[in-house]
Amino acid sequence: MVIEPFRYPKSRLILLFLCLLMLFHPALLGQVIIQGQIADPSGNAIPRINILLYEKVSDVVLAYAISDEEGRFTVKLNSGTDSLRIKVSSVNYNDVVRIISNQSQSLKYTLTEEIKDIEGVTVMASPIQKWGDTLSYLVQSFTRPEDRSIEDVLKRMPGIAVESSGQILYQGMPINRFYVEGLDLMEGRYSVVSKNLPKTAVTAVEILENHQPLRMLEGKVESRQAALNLKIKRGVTTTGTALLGTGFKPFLRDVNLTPMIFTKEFQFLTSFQTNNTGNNISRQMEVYTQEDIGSYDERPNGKVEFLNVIPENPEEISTDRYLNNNDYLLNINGLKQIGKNLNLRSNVFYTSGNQQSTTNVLRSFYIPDDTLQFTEQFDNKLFAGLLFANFSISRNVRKNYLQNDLKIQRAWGTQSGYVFSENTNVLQSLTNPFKNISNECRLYYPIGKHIWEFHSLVFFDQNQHSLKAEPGQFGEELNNGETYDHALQEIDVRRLHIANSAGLFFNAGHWNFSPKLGVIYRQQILESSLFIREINGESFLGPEASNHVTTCGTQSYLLTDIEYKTEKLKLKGTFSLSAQKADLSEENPENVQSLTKLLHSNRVSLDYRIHSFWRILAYWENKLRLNDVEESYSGYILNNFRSLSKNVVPLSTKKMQRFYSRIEHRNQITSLFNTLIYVYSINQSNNTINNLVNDDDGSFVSTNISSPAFSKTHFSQVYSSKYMSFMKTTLSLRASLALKQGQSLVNGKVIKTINRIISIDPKISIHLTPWMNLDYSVGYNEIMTFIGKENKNQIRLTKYNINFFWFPAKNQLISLTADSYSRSAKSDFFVDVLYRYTITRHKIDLEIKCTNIFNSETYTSYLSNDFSVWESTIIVRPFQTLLSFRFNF
Amino acid sequence: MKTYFFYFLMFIAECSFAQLFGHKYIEIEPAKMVITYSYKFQSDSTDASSVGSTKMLLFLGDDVSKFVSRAVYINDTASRKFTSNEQVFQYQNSPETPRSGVTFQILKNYPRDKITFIQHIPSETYRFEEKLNQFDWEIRNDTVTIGGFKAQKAVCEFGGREWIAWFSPELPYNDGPYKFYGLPGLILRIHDSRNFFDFEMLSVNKLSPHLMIDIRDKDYIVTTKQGFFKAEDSFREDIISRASGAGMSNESQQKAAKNMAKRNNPIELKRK
Repeated sequence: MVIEPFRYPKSRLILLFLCLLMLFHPALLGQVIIQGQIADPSGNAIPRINILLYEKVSDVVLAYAISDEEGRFTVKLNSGTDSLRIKVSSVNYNDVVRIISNQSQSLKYTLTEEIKDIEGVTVMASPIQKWGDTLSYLVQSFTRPEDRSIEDVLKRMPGIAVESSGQILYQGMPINRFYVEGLDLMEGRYSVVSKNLPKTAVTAVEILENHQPLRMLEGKVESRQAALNLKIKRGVTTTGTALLGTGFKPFLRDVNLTPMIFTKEFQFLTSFQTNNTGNNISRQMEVYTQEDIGSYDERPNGKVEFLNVIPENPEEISTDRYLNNNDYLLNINGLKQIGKNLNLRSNVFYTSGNQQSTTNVLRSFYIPDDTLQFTEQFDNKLFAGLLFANFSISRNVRKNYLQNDLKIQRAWGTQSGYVFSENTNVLQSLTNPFKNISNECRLYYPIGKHIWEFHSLVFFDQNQHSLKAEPGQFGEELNNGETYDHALQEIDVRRLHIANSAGLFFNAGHWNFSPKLGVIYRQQILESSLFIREINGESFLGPEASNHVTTCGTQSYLLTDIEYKTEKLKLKGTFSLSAQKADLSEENPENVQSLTKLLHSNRVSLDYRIHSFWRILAYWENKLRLNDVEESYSGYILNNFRSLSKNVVPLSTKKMQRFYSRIEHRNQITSLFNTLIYVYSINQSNNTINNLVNDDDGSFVSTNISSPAFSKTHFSQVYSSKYMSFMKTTLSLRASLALKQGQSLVNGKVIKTINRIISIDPKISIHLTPWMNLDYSVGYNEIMTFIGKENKNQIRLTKYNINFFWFPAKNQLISLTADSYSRSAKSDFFVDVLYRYTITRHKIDLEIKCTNIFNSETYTSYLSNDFSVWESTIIVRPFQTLLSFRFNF
Repeated sequence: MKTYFFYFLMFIAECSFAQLFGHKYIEIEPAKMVITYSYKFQSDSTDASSVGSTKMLLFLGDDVSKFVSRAVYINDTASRKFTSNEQVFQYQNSPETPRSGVTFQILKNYPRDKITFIQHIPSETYRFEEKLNQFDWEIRNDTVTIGGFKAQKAVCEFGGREWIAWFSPELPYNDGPYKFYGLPGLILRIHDSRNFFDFEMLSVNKLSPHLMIDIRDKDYIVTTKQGFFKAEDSFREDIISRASGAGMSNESQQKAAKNMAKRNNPIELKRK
């Protein structure tokens, strides 16, 4: 028998369900309706009064009503609590707060007039605004009372970084223009402005993203770089800094007079600076802007530097820690707008500097089964003088573009010094003057809808350098194994570089097409001779150690850009085909060479804006070119006391491949900026340097052999910064990893080398209280050298930098700077103290600055190469006191 | 640059048809407080980089309030002192004259229980009214602190968008930016759910002496909300011929047309 289970009839189930539902229905739980009436003591209804209902102890409004024209209100609410708090609130009447039971009721309130005092508040304005491609940073939001120049404030703006040299980066890339009120007075030598323009003269710092400096090409050819523009305060035209300082020991002086005039039609800046306090002023005259990567290589290489007196100064710490100098700078710049669009500009400067330094160098060479180490001490003196003038005329309008720059440079330089090592003491002296003149002209004008472009560059320089080393070096190679009194290397390099090109720019909808034809002619005459002198006279070493080389390079090219662009996406292909011819003629007929090749280079790039905050840039490049014929010479050149080189290179091609990618994120609303860069490059050539390291003294003979050389580099870098406006705090992080794989030929053995450099630098700048600020940065660096697969060397460096600012009174500042650089065994520690008193009425600062108060003696820096590491310990400036007086023009 | 052209166009259109100085005003009541808001808006819904921003002022009187852009307020105040056309032109051409693309004026509770909306669309100034209590606010439990004031969340649907407001009972006004009204505390921040439009309080200041809330006495084209939207939309579509009428070069016309095409994201989506 089957027993049926008991079942409720369906209709009953539904009924049950409905009953349950109703039990929990809020309406049945009891919707409470509170009604009421609001009036003044004479019984007149008051409209627009807020009636707020809360739980007994809570600040969260449960329900509300606003009284109508008759003063009536009705609030409906569902709440499980027994009692409620009712608040009657308005601007012009008194508040009433009562506890009432949670049930429907009718209330009556009588209010009397009462004017409430509402405190005014100001919420900080958004520190970064965005208008189209322009980001505008409000200087006021980032400025701190301890800041003086605009550079001090720039350092704290998220997305912007200022290198220790003064170079300004935006999202990790150098800016391509530095404008003040939209005009480019300094043409890249902007450091003198950013370091001397008072922060109070500037209202906003604008970053012009994707800045195309040529107005004619705006919206047509997009740049990937950003420019910086300073907006000067209304009413300010004359500004600048004046500083007079003196101190001891030794007698110190620091003078800086830099008045500036900035208007939209006329700009002028002159600067006179001199000091012996370690501030390397000539750096302010360096060009820090960089043109867009990818512009075709039309320029001659920088300076000719066959000869040098090592070592180089450390880059990562401020020069005023270690530099014993005596520097002068006179700089005059003027820009005038004639008519509406023609700009005339001249920049003239003279710098002269004496520097003195004492450095201990430990050089380590890693070779497969051995490590060679050498210690030397250098006592160097340097003098450098440079006179530079640039005269420029430009017209930059929508219709056409013209720019002509004439540059003249003349430099005087000497370097001399003793080198003390275990074996010998050597005196080196170098003179390295040069002269150069160049003229560059660029012209764009429209033909119908299209644009013509002409470019012409003529460049000439002469470098007559000489180096004397005493006693003579490389006896083995140069004097049949005998020692000798001194060696004299003389060298004269003259270069002529002419580049001309003409291009067209077509635009059709989403497509841009721009072919360009050009010719580059390069000529170099290199004459060198090496003399050795013994007590009984001077002798010329003959062809083995002299050169008379004339090299000519001709390049005719067709460069074509094809671009497809939409609002968000840009795809570009650059294809170049060039006929390259190189001739090398020498007295020795064996070394006469000539090579003609048809070579091509390609590049494909992508620029994609995923979102207003995100952007991806990437390119892949494949370049083929002839090796630098200018670096070829068959006779020995003594580069410095321990390096002798000759470079007979069979003309061949070299190949460079590069993949570059970059992800940018920038959110100006949250003030968060991030960039991630990854670069992978491969270099291939048929030219290997054969290094012969002498085990006894570490001297070097390098020659060239024809054998394939190969190197690979991975590089990645992160820049992140965030400004937290509620704390007035900027956080930033910079981290990078570089990995270079290559091979070197050392003492006849081919070794595989890997260099790995890691650096992580977080930084925070905090506004602790209105009278206390703190900048704190930590840096971690690791340098590793692998030879074969063996880790030969690992250096770990940690640095801490604290800058503490305390304002005991509004016009007084005490600041403390502590820098520590440590490595497992060694540690360098520096402490500075500054007291500043500001005479507010006259805006004058009086300062006393004590530097290196613990009298630390040295600073150690590291430089790594394929198979060598240099550890340089430089003698730093001792404890000193500087008194100064500063005001603004 | 793009936007400048637009202001110029608006201005040209205005001065070619209207009297330039010596306007009359109807005084309504004194404003006792002024609230400054930042207003960020994305004028092209397809392009997140088309974000503009401007400052807005909300003048609060006992019964009436007025909401205008800071630029409009400053220019309006300056223009009252002019006595000749030259002065007007000089002022308009000065680079220091503030400019803003946000040109509407909103009066609340004037007339009683109404919102009065005024905006110039070349070549007329339009005026329409709508109900003041049209917002069906829903209170939420979330709270935040904005500029030191405790604020609570409320949401509503308006003009085809979902709006999220933060109001503070500590400032017992029922007002807020734009047309928003009817919460038991001043709206300190309000934005739409897609973040195309965002009003955020920058400052609260007392006005002493009090300033007059007033309205220019002129021949407005009195219309309805729908009528105004129609005029606005047809202006947008008609921009090329209007630009040509104002003597713009061909390139500028195209540019203006292109810019107008990009202004495809009105704050009130519901146009009919």
